[in-house]
Amino acid sequence: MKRVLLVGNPNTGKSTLMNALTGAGAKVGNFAGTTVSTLRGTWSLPDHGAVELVDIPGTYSLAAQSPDERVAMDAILASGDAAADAVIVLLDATRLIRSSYLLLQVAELGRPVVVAVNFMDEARAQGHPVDLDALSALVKAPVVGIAARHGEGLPELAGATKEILADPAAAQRATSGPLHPWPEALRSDLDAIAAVLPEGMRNDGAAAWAVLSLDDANASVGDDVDAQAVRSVLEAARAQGRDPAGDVVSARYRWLDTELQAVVGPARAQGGISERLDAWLLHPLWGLLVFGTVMSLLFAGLFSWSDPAIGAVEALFEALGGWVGSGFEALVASGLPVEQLGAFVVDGLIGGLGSVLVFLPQILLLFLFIALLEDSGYLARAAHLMDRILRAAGLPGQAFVPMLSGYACAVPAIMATRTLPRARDRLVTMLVLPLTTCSARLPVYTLLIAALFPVSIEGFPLPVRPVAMAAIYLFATVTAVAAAIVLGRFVAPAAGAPVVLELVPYRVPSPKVVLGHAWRNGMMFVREAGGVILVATVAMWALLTFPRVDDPTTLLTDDIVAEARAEGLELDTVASALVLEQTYGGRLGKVIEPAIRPLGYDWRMGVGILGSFAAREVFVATMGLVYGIGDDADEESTPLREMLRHSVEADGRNPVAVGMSLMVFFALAMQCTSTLAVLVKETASWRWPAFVFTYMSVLAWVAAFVTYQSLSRLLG
Amino acid sequence: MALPARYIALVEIDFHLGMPMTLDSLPVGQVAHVLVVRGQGAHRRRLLELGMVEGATIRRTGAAPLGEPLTYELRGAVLALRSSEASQVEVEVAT
Repeated sequence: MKRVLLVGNPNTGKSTLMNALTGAGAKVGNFAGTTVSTLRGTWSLPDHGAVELVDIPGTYSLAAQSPDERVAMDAILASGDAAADAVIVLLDATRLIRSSYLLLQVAELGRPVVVAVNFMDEARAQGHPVDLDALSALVKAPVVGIAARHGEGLPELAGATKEILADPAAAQRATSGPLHPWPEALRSDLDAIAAVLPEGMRNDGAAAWAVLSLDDANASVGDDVDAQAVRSVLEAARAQGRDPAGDVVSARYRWLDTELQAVVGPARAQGGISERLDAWLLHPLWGLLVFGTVMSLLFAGLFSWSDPAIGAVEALFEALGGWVGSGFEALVASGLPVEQLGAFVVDGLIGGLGSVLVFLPQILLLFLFIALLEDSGYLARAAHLMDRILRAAGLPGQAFVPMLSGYACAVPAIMATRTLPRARDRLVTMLVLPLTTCSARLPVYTLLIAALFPVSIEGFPLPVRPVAMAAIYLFATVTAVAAAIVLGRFVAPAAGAPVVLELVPYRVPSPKVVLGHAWRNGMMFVREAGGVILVATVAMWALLTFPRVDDPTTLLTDDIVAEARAEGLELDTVASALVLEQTYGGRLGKVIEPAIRPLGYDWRMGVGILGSFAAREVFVATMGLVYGIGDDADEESTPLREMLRHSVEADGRNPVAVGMSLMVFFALAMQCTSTLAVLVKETASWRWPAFVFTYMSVLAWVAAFVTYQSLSRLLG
Repeated sequence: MALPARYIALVEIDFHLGMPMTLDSLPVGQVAHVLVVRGQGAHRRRLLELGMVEGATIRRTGAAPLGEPLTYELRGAVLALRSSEASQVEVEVAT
């Protein structure tokens, strides 16, 4: 199948066009070995057959500051199996000169190009239609006017693409020879640079690309380019008082400004409606009010509206497990030795599958929100409004929506970092997101506060419990900001320029694009992260299940029975606590006890912490299990609260110190295998998740140690 | 006698007519022409590639509610720049 690339500036309607051409079949995925995501779909051209259409992330320039940013260039220049047969460059009719700058870069590379000019309807409405024939003559390539939103011009685009694919040699002949002149001195620099570039890159476009990419002294663009040789040419030019990078850009814009003026007419103001709307939406008072309302809606949606759907997924898998479980029971009753298999299928596999799909409602909802905000133009304003605040953490305004989402759940939030244009910002945001207080921590905090914190403490004027809850949220937020500053400085220092934010015109969002965006990202999560989460969940289940005890009552010694009777406990639940105690997880809880003793925890809490690696809220159920109350105990369970408090006070530990230390530990520790699984996929590495796990664990231990030791001394 | 503040602002614009100044001090609504983008490396390259080359027309449109970033219209697009970036661009106020 032939391959066609789609390139263009951000917000030129690439996703709308992609959607219109390839329908719902397009798939999100990463470029091999990078964190840069792309969309691939099948486009069927009339009288030609299907071609693969690849959406290259929106960019203003092909120049790269890091190997990660080379994807666009690599995709365009690829040879062999990965080679592109044609490149569609999408221009914006309302910003023709600016978007043509990217077209020049692609055309200079000598690849077969088809030009699609989007938003023709808006340009006409503004009274400045684009002269397509004149543009075509100038850029020596077929030009098609489209309005992707309304499907206008799409058959013509298919026709032009088909012709290029049928005779690529003719297309290349047409664009051979320079499109525009370079200043003489620059001309010889470009020739000298082209000579040291690898084969297939020996042309003006690639030489100009190398000039811009290696202009920065620290930039690296990959192993195949001899950066040293390119830099020595640049040094020589600078020694003569020239500025090769500036000259390349100026030469291109000078040509566009002179030649395209005839195509677009005189410069005009930005669409008046957007500017008038911005007067309100970026207003110091009204702007912040609207922003607060929109973000509250987004957060309420993630935090509580998704609850019924999450509950439905859980109920569905519980019902499925019950149904399959009773099937296995019938088989066991008929004498088949399938008890172990049944437990594996019901608790491990079906439970694990449920723990993957339980994330889906929040992911779909978040991406629906993001697509709606992005497509309407408001997402850019949200980033603009928050830039000043996030700058304190060394992050751009675009990090706000992912960070806010982290307070509901880190898994969709990490996926939402795809909206951050710069790889480095995206990485830093992903590294600190697990520190935000996700909703799974809430049941743990509720249990600990109710069980271990008194209503009031003498000499402390405020109600203790609400203050403890507010304090832990504040603590986590401050830590996340501090971590962003520290990691941003030492682990992922800023490379290249911060992205210049464009306040795109407001547009009515297209339902197709919005729904497609949410659906594709949800499916990608299930496809890519689902497997890792499933394996991790099954592994956690195995750890807390094996070795199995066929008859739990054999573990009940006379002493234990007498003790349980004295405390009024059910023998069944005491037996299941003993079963848990002798599993690998239970034994591990005892093994790690010396390590967690200084934090104020006993081995039971150790088992609870280990259990919470499946999902933090599992801590509550595991504690119910180890205290012999049963695994259906929730954070509101009075017996569980009493047992917890009793066991802490019994060996002379201060409950508040233990509670605060546990909360600090839960705030900072990386105890979510699903988050780690998503990080593996989104950073395309094992190294970063391992780093996150390590730094958060160390931080959690140290902070919990300091908390427990100082509080127990302070409170006596 | 000291002039009220708004007169001073007017006098300043008048004073800057044809004189070089940097983008961050361009008053809201004022149109200017780009003279040069100072600095080096990726920051400068990004601004150049967005079309901030010598002679380009640029207009200050406003600022974010918290005072930053500043917004400018360039080649039909509205761009948000931090003042540290805007101060790297020398412009000449247009009449």
